[in-house]
Amino acid sequence: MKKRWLVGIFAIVLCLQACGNKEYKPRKIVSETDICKICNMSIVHKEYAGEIALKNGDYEIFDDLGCLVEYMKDMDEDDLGKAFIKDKSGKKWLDVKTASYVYDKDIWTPMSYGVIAFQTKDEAKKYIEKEGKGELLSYSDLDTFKWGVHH
Amino acid sequence: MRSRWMQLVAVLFVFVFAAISLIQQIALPDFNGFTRQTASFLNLLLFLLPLFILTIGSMGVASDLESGWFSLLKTYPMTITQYIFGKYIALILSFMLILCLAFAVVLGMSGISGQVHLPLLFVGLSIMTVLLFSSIAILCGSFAKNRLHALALSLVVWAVSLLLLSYALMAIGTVVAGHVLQKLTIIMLHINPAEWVRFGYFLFSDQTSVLGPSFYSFTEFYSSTVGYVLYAVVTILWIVIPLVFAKWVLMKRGRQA
Amino acid sequence: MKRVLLLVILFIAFMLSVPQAHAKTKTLQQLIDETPENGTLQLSNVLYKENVVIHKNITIKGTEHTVLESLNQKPVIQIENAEHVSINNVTLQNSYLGITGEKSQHLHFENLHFKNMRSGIQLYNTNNVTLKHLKITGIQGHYSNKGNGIALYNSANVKVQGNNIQHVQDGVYIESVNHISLSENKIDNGRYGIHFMYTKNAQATGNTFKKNVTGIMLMMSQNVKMYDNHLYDQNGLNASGMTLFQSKYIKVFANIFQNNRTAISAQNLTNSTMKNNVLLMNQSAIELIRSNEKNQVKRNNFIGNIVNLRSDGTGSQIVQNYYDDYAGIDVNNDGIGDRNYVALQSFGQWMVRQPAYQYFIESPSVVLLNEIDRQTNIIEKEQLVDQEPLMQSTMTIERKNTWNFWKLVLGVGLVFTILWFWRKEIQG
Repeated sequence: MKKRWLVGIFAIVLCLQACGNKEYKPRKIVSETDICKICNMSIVHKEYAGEIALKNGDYEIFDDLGCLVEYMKDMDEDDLGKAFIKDKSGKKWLDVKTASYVYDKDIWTPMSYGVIAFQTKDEAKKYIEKEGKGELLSYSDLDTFKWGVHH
Repeated sequence: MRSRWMQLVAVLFVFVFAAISLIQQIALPDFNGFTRQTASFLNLLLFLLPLFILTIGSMGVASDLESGWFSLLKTYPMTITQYIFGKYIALILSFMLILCLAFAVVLGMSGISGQVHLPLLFVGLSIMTVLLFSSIAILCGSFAKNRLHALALSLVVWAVSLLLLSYALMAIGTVVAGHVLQKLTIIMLHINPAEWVRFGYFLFSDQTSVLGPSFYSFTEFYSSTVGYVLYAVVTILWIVIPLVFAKWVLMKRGRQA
Repeated sequence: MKRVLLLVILFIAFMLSVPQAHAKTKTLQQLIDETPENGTLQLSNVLYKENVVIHKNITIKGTEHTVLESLNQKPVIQIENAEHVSINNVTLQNSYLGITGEKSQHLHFENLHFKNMRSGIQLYNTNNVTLKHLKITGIQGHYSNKGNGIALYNSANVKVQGNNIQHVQDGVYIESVNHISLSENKIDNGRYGIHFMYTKNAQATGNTFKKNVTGIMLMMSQNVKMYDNHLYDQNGLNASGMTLFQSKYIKVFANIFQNNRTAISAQNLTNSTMKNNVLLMNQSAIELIRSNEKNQVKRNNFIGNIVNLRSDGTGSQIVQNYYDDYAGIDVNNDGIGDRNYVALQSFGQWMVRQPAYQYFIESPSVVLLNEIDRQTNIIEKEQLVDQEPLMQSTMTIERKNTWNFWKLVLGVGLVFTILWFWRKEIQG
């Protein structure tokens, strides 16, 4: 009887584990419950939010690109499914590793890190041209970027 | 009613109930919300009530079977359904009486100190606990070969529903992903009557936020009208299914005998 | 030079507006423009529906029924490049944004009433600001769709006193501000009561926070003192009394935390002290994540909390606190318990790592587990250990002791009725 129970539970667990789709998709953000994994702030500015889909099917939510990068630095590469960040318009999810970034100290983000994301390098360049300021960054630059020092 | 065992249970229950509410209230100011006091009250309810109901109820049925009382009864113009129903009602009534006594003592004490008070919700939950576990107790009794077997069986059921299932889940939680643990917890909550009562406390005291953000959408659903209806349905199922099952078991045993 | 030019422009504007002065009612903008530099404008009981801009030194005084309303999403009052602006006794209502100030100094707002506003006040690059006795009430709905009560960016020398703020996103949002003091404010039903970001030299005293998501949210700041604040009923989803994140030199003294989900959640702090606080009946009292030995938790009173202390395994100095569940004795009578107090609970530690465990908080199984922990963790030396637990609490709880005669009669009566009934049953 007991054994059958254990086997049953184990089967359910396995099934649930397996059911997690292997194609990582960003999930919808719920303002009522989602808080940033790193800084605990609730996500009220969805247009700056970031997300990490873990291999085990869990999601970690971040309010700002800076928090997401900090989490990625400390995490085990093997657990990472895919990382997403909202683009400048706040409507589209981008893959963090392929996106282009613009930094300027006057750009406001929830943590005031001042870095926003664009799908392509051209879009980012256009933005810098239009605003007349800003610094173009790639994903590899983010790793060494000094977050939040300009204050 | 007539057994010494029952009287002892009543005295013990009243004493513990009164003592806990008094001690906790003297130490802390009055506050609404999920605090250590409400938690210990709830836990007391969940620990003691099911233990007594399960043991006494199942042993009652088992002794009927063992002593041949049940076989005698069958010669009367009485169906098994009537027998089970009668047993069930008797069990509920006697525990209701004990509960009333405990509540009356607490009420009297609240008159003296002005501090102790008993939320209506706890009264409701205790009644629900009695209803749920009485029916499970009868099922345990109908399975048992003799009274000792019934006692053992009910203790196992008690331990599983209060302790072992949650420990198993917590252990599983250390290896699986958060969303899996969350889903398993939701399943466990429905298949475990003790957890179901506990969940009822959070639901009806409007404190579902205590359970944390991971259960937000789940508790939101149960806080709606449809959710309340579903809660009632599941509760009724928990009462009816064990009774029906007990009838089936008794019928099968009757035929074998 | 610039100011002279401004004056000339204003003068021209004033001249231009003269013909209109004969009109029956003037707009508020006209009245402001007519007021001389450093002059005082006294308003009567009139409702103005417009957006005004202030570029000069002016004192505006209203009456009880002076009401301003905006017609669009622009601020009702916009202050730019002004040296001395003071606004008194005015009501602003039903608008998107109340007052904005930019590159200005010596702003003094007192007795303003903001009703049904998405945002109250926004100030950028300002200096010497006083916000006193303001009453701000936000709009209905979820906090993610609201604005902040008071928002301050890149400013210095700010005083926020005696304000009453409710139903907004953040009561007071503070970003890159140097020298700010917040006292005797009452902030409730918002997201964060006070939200510090990149703030230096701040002080929050005697404020009351109730039913917010978080009373004080402090991030990336340094040298902030918070004392004598009262934080209660922060008990919703993800709620906390204070959340302190990545900051230095923070002092949390003599605050009262009551009935919060987590009283203090501290993450990545350095050189910070929590002292003489009262932590009463919270679900979790203090949570220490990525802490270090330079942080101190000293002489606090832990009473009636479900979980007293929990951590992610990093160390902090925990000394001389009072715990109501401490079981040791004091043989030498020095007021300090002879045995270590070990706050480590396996369940508390799990909860830090996996939020889904929250479901089991104080469930029957966990209570038993904690009891086992208490026996096995006595030998714990490193994590969450207080080597000098206090025997006596440093605070007293007031308690009213009332007799209720009727309850007593009813209770005793019921007991006897039931016992009588039972006896009858037994004999019968």
